[in-house]
Amino acid sequence: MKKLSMALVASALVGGVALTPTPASAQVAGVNPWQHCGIGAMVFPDHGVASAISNIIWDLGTTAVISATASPDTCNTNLVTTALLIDSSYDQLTMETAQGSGEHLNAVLNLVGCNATEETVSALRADLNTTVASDNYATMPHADKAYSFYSSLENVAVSCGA
Amino acid sequence: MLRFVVFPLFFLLFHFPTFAFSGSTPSTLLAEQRTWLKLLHFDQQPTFGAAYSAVADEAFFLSSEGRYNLSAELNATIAALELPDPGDGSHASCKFPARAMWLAQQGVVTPVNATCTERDTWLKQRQHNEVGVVFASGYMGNPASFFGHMLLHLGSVSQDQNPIQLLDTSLNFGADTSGDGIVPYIVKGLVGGYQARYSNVPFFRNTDIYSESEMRDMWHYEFAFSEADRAFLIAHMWEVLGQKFDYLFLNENCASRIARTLELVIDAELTESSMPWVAPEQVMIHLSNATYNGQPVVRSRMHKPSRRYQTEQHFHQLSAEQQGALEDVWQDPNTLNFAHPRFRRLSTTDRGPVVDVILSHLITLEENNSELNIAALRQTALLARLQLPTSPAFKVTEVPAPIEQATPSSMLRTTAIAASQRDTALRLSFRPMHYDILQGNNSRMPYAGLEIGRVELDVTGHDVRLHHLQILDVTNLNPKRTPLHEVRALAWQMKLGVGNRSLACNNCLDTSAELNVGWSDFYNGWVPFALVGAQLRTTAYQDGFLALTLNAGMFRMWSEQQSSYLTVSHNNAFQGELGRSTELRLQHRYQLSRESDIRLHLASDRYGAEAGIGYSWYW
Repeated sequence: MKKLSMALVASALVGGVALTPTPASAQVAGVNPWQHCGIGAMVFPDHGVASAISNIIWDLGTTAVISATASPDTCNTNLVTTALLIDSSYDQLTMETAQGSGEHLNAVLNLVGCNATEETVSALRADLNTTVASDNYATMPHADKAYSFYSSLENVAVSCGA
Repeated sequence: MLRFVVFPLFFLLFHFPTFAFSGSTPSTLLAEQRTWLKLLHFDQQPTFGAAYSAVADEAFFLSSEGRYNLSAELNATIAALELPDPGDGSHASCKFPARAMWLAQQGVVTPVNATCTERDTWLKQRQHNEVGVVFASGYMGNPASFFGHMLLHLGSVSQDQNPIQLLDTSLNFGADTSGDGIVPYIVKGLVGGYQARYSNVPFFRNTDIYSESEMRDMWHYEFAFSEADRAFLIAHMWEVLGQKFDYLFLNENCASRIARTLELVIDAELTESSMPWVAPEQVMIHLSNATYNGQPVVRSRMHKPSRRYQTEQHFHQLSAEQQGALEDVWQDPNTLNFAHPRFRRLSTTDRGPVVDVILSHLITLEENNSELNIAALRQTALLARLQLPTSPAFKVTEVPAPIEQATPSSMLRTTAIAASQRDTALRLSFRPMHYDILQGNNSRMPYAGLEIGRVELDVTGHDVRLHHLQILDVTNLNPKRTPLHEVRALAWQMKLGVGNRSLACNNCLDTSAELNVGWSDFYNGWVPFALVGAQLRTTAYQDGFLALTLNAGMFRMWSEQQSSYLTVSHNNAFQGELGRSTELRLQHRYQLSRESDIRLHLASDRYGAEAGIGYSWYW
């Protein structure tokens, strides 16, 4: 599974931004965290020896999001945390979305100010169904899949009244 | 843009316990207080010389002598805290809020209402957090993780009363190994050369690593701290975040540092050890026994199962019809056939959990670097699942025993031995760590054993002889516990030791190193296995320094108290009769208590046989 170097952004996020429910309006429309906030800029060694023996330093002391093309203010919001969670837990998220419940699903909805209601989950399921049904889904890059879920979540956040 | 809110630091001062203070030399008296020592992590005590702080970062000290001089650091801290606030976040109270809280309580500084935007933001986000630790079970993929891992955890109870949330804060103490390979990692980890620090990430980052990738069970322990102590401890966490500490694998590790951090508010010696190391297990046991204001310090405990454990549990909760349908759907590892009649015969409600197990198992397979086309399989499974109704989240119902209930690591055993070709003897065995396969369970690792430094001495009426020195013995049978397709689930075994070459002699010691890899399976609780490999050994007895090995047998865990292990070991150096040997051995364990058990064994080879009954004591 492709895992990305989220350590740097994680450090910035946890150091400076609350991981608490934030209204969807706090998300920045039109920003792709994978492209604009440095997520996906580096491929982190996943489970090889290098990562296994580090035991474990994930945030490397960087306080800014590397290779961000958007402003740090834009990226230092729940937007990136949400993207980070989606990126690292995409497989769990899609599984739980299909099932209709789960801790990753709750967390990501919580981050955009929504709850896991029948409406929000149904909307995410419908969008996921469309994405997964596409012919190229299996070969789609991880970041594209993750961004697709992120976009779907943005739409849900708008309609959930946050 | 966040709007920063000033953390109500001074509100906390009213709740913080006051320490008695008297005398004419305040700095000396205060500097010797336990709390001040804990605040400075002043716990390094060399064999020769004075104690000093474990923090190796100059930025942590306000005095140039601060790392080695408690009074100097205290005086420098008092002076710095009384300086006017420059307003740019550089005031000492911004960096050391816990020191400021404590010294204000002692009445030696007058709090300055400094502007500390970053501090206040961080603390405010966590002002209602509960403090806890997370223990991750041992992991065979990394020597540093054999004995488990610990994290500090800050989180708040959610609406669903779940005490552990993915968006909580994890403080992970780990060494910065700068990408070193395994050899320099071990050397530096043992003798020094690394520095470690607390990192600070969302908990989901750690569950992703430990639960979802390394398949380690985790336990969360929440502490019953008062509001004042919680705030004090969290303020201290802000002080140590990012600070560099000395790191040693054995006794300056995650467990020892977290324990010493918690000792700021827990009046106990959490790193106490009869061995020259501090293992996460030991600290967890100390924490589980520790009290706080007369009550157990641990208020609650929650198991967070690994992905693999969740999948197994979920599979075993399926009905027989659902399990059969799953096997028919996934007959070919590369294909999911949801059109199979057996699956279609299930109600739509019953189909959902079948697909859920498949989706969960695909995560496990992917993390094991399966060669299957996981992406395509997942696409098929997701499409099938999305056509079915949602269902309630699966719950793990069988929670394994937590680590503090597992048998302790150090062992002393006395065994009465009757042998066909040797004198009757009393065998004394000692093992500093860790557990053998008969003790394996989910608290550590099921169907696995990891013994280091086991010594066996045979005492007879006329002498004492070394029977065996097992420097290292690692066994991981790794059986598949569901019919689901597995990859890379090899059983393996690694041994290094000195022992008698046959059961007929007591003075034929030989040194050997052995590596075996092979197959295992799981049938209604029975775990058969067959491993092949090679053995390098000394040639003192002219029977070949290299032999091929075959180890086969059966393991059975009858209950939490009883387990049996049958092995047939054969090795052949192709040097004629002397170069071949075969041994049959049966062992049985009957647990009497957490700290004791009875062991029975029978062994036979071509030269002799022995039987033994022993009593083990663990601590």
